[in-house]
Amino acid sequence: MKKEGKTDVSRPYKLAHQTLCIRAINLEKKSLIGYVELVIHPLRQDLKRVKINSKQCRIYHVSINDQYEAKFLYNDPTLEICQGDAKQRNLDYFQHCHFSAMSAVDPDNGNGEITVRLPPEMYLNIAELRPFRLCIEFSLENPKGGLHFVVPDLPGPAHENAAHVFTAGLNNCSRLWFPCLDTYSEPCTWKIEVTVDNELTAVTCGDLIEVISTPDKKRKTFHYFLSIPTSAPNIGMAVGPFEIHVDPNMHEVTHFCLPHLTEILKHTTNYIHQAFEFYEELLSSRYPYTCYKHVFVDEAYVESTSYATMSVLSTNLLHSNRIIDQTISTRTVLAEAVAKQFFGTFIAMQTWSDAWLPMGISGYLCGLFIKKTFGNNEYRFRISNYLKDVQDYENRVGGIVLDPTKRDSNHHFSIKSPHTVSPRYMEAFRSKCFLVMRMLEQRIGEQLLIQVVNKLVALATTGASQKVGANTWGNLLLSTSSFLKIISTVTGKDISPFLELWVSQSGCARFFGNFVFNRKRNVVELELKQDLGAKGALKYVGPLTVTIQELDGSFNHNFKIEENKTKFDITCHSKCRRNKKKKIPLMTGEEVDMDLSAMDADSPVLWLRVDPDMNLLSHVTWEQPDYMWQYQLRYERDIVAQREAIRALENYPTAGTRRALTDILEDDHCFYRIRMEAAHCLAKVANSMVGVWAGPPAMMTIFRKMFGSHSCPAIIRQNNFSNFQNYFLLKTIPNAMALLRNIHTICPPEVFKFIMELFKYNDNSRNKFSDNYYRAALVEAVSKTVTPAITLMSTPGQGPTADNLSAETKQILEEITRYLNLEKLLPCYRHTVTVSCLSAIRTLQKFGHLPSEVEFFKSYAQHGVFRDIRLAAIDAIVDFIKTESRPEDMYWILNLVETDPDLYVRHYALQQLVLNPPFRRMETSALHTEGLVERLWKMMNCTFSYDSRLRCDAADVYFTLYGRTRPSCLPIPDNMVVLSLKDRKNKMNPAYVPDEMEEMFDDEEEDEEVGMEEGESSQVDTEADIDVTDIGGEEPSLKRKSPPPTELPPPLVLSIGSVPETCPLGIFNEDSASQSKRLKLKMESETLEEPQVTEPSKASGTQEVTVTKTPVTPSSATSAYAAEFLKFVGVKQEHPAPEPQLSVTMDTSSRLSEGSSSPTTTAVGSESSAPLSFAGLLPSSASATDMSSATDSKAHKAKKKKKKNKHKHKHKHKHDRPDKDPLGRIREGSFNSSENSPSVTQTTLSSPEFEI
Amino acid sequence: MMTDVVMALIEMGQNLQGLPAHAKRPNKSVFLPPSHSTPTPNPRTLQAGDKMPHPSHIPDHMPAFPDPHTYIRTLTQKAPINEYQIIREKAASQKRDVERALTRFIAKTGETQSLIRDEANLFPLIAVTPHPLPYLNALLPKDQDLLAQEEEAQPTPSGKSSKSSQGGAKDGETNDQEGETTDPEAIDNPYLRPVKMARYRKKGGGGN
Repeated sequence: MKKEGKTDVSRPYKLAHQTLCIRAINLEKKSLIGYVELVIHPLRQDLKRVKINSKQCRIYHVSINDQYEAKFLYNDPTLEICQGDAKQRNLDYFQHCHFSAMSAVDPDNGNGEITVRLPPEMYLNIAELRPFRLCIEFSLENPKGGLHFVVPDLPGPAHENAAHVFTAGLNNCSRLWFPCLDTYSEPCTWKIEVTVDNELTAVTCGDLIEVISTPDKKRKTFHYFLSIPTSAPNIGMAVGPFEIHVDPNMHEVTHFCLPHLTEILKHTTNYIHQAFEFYEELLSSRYPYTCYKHVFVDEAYVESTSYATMSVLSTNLLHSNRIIDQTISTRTVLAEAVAKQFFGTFIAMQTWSDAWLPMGISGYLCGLFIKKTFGNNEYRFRISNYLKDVQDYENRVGGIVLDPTKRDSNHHFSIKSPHTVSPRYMEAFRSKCFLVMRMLEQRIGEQLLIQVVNKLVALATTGASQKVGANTWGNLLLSTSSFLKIISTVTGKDISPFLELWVSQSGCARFFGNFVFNRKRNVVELELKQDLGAKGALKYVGPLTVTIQELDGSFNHNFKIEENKTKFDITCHSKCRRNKKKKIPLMTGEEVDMDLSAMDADSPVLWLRVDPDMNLLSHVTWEQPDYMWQYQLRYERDIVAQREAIRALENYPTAGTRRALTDILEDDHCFYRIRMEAAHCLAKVANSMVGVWAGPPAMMTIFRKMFGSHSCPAIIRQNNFSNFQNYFLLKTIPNAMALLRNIHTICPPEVFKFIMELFKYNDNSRNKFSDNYYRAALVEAVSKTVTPAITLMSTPGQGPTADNLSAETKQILEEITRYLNLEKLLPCYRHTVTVSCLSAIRTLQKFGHLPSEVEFFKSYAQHGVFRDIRLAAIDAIVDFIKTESRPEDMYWILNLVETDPDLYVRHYALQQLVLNPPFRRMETSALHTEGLVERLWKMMNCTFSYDSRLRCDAADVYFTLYGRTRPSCLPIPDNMVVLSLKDRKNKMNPAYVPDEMEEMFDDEEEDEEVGMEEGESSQVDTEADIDVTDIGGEEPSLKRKSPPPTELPPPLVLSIGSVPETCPLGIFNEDSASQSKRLKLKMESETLEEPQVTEPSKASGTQEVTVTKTPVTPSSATSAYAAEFLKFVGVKQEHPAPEPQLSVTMDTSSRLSEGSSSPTTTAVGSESSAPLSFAGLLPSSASATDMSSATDSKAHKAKKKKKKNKHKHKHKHKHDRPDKDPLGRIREGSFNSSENSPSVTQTTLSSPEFEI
Repeated sequence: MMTDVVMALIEMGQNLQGLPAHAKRPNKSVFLPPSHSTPTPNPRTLQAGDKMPHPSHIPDHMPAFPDPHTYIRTLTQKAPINEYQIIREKAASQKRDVERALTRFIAKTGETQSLIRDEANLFPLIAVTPHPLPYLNALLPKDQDLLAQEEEAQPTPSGKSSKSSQGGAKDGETNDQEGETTDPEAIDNPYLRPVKMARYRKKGGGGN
């Protein structure tokens, strides 16, 4: 399980323990403050630097062993992916930059945003390999990702308004809220302390040791300890005025929910102990932790996120005992969350390329739980769903590689980092993980696989109980190679061919097949071909099972699929002569009577199935006559087979098919989901048979028989949903019937009337269950009856007026209006009815029965409406944008994507734009404008730097709209050089970055004594270079690419280039910038700069800071810096920079300024623990003190040195430029966080071009 | 003899021996049995149904029962052929009318939206209003089927309240939240424990 060698190479120290102390949380201000303390064991005697991950946090100071201040450097290239790149707008370029930026901070490459230089005083300590403590004080304000604050807009104290905060992110997002080694491969023990107001409860990982009131009794501190080594990404937290419910069956399980929801919380969680018991029994080992917590929160990032000993779940999963549908999905989600405690948090992935293992195993365990809880049919049904999803994704979008170490894919994103992967890909990825794990189960046997899993847990448990020195914590990590090893140990089997085929390769096998029965030979001649040309196809070689059902029974045949071999023979067991009396044995051992009249009298074959147990990821297009499909549907007991048959029968609209489907629909021994599918299929068959269809509309009779009242079948009985199968059919059949069309391709009037009567006679007064889903289904059904209007209207887009609404439309509107209005007064569970109504209204609009109107939906999409409704409204709006192509709507939705408080809604909106795009590449559209390109580009480039899900969503949208190449609406820049991507790749190799950076860093310090005025260091140059490009927005690519004429490899330049913002504080939001400014003011009394500083702070949201108005003050270093930039720009600039880039630039500059200002803070704050600038958040314990001038001078010196050194190593081309010295100095100042130069105060660049 | 009667008479102060004498006194008044008057027979045309004969304990001289329709339910017509259908029909339209009236009223008195521009009255929709805690309404629905809810409400609270009442004795404010569910005596859960008071410790080992 461990592969320590691999990771330790890049990380010359080991983390033994981490303390995370949140000293205060302010819900109103959405901020928190605290410190972390990492106990680090050096593994090398010459350890000088420690790299830590931290984004978004402001860091006050770093100290070692409470004794020494440590200097640190902040550098985060991910804030802006393509830095200063004016013209590049193609996605491939973005992808490369994105991946290399992510690698440049990837802790598994030994990188991090923060580089801490250990003070020389520590060298002795380290030489003896003695552990030391690294303490980082930080604060976080108004985070845009990682931690989500929900603060309802209500008067009164936050805790009375159910304000709360929780961790929100997918993978490796902990760095967004506290400094850590944000990798799964570095587990350690944790002490977590959270101090909150008395009314609040803090839930986080580990055991709650005690709760201690603060001396003023206004707050209390929750002390948690997590003794099982856990990696930072598995640390989560939730704080809020939660109601607490201890599980009555397992007292170590505690559930938390928002106020007023305890009753439904109790109901929702009352079965969870079964999940625990199931897993423990299955794995024959105890649940690894001593406690477990469920926290249900509003505006959840995803339905469920798992952390060590706790899960953060969406409050919308809660339900009462009157709800049927949600119960099923909630139980699945909760059960999976428990499974992830075993695999996911307790045993975590070693690296991202091993992610498929914990995901697959937890999915597999959860699958077994589903099998036990909901039955084997449900289990198989889900498998076949997953299989279909994966096939579809691979076929339409592209291959999924579970372990991308060996092969990359050719997606428009990199699959090698969790931060660059498209969210849609991840969904399919998760399904595939589960499928592959299940295939492995079939390959080596369920018992053995369980043994393997059991062994993993046992090893991990033992490993976790040791101390850090024992080096056993690697047992808590799971990697592909360790998995391979343990499988061979436990089972003696070598599964590497299996892994090679399905894990390190993408694609599904795609078979085409048919057969003929050769009567003379009594043999079935089978032909199976693989379609290798299709997208997402995989060339499969290996065993394949074919099952044949003959008159005498069912037989499995195993074939070996080889290259170029397509013909196979199956010798039949049965004679063609058939004994009419005899029952026919099935696979299950049952013997049934069949009416064999339909089949070919000469053949004993009833049906054939390829890969019946889904042993392969395969897509089989199988040909057999319709009567065989009908037999298969009627008599095959496997629901997957029935499903296949139903799908196939769509193409055989005959009376026999009709009978078979009807019988299945009526057969209450049949799995209800199959019956539901049969209903839909029957509708299609009926439509195909419309000319010859006799009798009442399909399913009318069945429905009346099942649900009509005894005395009057035309009237539906009062609702009684206690038979769930019938309940689901009740919801489905009207929907299927609504799809019926008569000869005029409209819905038959009697069907329409039938559905309207269902509305009318719906009576739920005696029902134990809520009918909300049923009513929603009715609305959905009625909207399905709608067919495009025969428009007499001349003006397109106008739609009909009130006078010429059709009678049906009026009836529909009557119902919808009533339901919608009623929902406002007596809302139903999750507002399902409203959701359906919105989509029905959109359908009416789209088909021309109503004037298209988007404002209506916008009102439903606003924040403060229940999330499900908002999502439905967004669906409608996106659809509207597609048909109407009005730019203002597009920008409206992009605005929502950029600003909405609910991160999931933003994500959803982008996903909808991908699934239902307003236009596709090569299509013409009014929306296809440069403005939109720039907007989207900016989103992915920098706006969403704190939420990789959104960033990748935006990239998906960009890809859908424009493809990988440069959007055609953009002008071709004059000086644009076509870059060869390969070159770029090489150059961008991130591995170079850290070294170089570090070198510089070191250089700086060593050379402290050198005079200030020395030449610029190359590093500075690089930076300048980049910045310049930023500002100018032109030809950055050129510059970057041109390798500097030095010994340094080109990548250096590039990588450095991508890391220009070297501000020690991780604060990039303008707010923080303003704060730091303020500080400075106090300290340095540089009043001049204040106004400029504050200005950016106001524009906090988008980081677009308008700096234009500020005049350049040459006196201040920053302004000099800015001036320098301008000069550069002037020299190089050929075009005025486009706006988005400008804003980007501003960004950078503001960051810089922050960086430069922050050291001041640090210096001051070092004596007192609390950060100065936190006035708003907390009573600041430390007062702003004066900066020591010594620091300044030191800083300057340092800079000089740097320059010198760099000079030597690095790019000389920069030296050629005049005016570098001041610039260089400034940059250095900003570069090294611990040294602060007072002169670097001014951030803002003043140039007219920067106006936004 | 009937001792009770004797006792009663004695207690009333009567002389028992005097009874026979009293009975045989010369000028006692005698009640004549009522003469049998022949009842006036109802005209046959007016009679509805057959009169009931007297039960055995009623003397024949008592008046006969009146016509049955005066004291027994009278079937004036046949049962409706499809009663259920009509009831359902009525219930449905009544429900619908109530709902429509209510929603129209609210729509008229409050802010509305319209699906068709300039036709605000055609299908008035109550305007959507954002709520600071939108999930509360969505998760705790006020369903319309109150009847079933009431029926169901009976068993649940009784089951839970027994548990819930015991919780909240000890701890401070945490108890408000926890008290409902559990008995802290029986359950050892750290979230149910009382808050400890601050101890004086040396100030923070780590970051302080």
